[in-house]
Amino acid sequence: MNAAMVSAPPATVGFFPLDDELGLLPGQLTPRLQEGLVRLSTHIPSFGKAVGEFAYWTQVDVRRTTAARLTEAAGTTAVALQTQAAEHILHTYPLPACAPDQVVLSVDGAMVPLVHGQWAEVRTLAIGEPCLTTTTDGQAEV
Amino acid sequence: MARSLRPSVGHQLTEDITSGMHEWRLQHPKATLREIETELDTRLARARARMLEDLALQNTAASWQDAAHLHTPTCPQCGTPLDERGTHSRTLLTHGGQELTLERSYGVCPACNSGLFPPR
Repeated sequence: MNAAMVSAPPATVGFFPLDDELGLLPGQLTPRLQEGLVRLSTHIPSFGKAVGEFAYWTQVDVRRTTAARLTEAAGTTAVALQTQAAEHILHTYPLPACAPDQVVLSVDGAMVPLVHGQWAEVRTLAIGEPCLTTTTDGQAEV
Repeated sequence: MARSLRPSVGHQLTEDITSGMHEWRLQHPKATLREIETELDTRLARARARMLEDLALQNTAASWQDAAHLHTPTCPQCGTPLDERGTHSRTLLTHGGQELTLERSYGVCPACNSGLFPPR
């Protein structure tokens, strides 16, 4: 028997209608606090620092491992929702019936002036369907 | 039965904070704004937790009889009406490190015996 099994709380039998009505989540934190912890853990690139900030603003101490577990679970849920949305789009908006056999990509770039004497690079991408023609001197031209 | 709306709770909490802070200020005449703000936040957090607890339990699902009166709770697995088995309290943590205790009814499925899970 490992340590986790020894420390596991006793099982309780039953369904709790109030928990569902209130939208309670597993764990000791209220749903709003869980959301806050996940947001902090997402924006701060360290679970240890995130729980420190969380404790400062909420006066609730949470273990680093708890922050990691909740944030990763929220991330998994977010990925599942995005995958579901992508599949919905694929089924609802099928690909065009007549797609061109070939397309031409043209990439370019240019420096453009900004305010205060700054310059920035702008990159452009043109996508088009190739159309073959012949010039007057008999050369093939796209 | 679900707890009835108790507006007096809110008034009492507000009164406790106001009078309590006034008394605290008399005892701490040289307190900095940071200290005053910290003390006020602590008292507000306590009142907030009590109010949140009170509001959460004003839900018919907190009591099996009230929930069954509106719609009989059914098993999420097989849809059979659940049998009430009593109440169980759950403690949550909210802002200010305050505890929130929710005493709520629970039931089990007589058909498929679903409902065995670790405490949430």
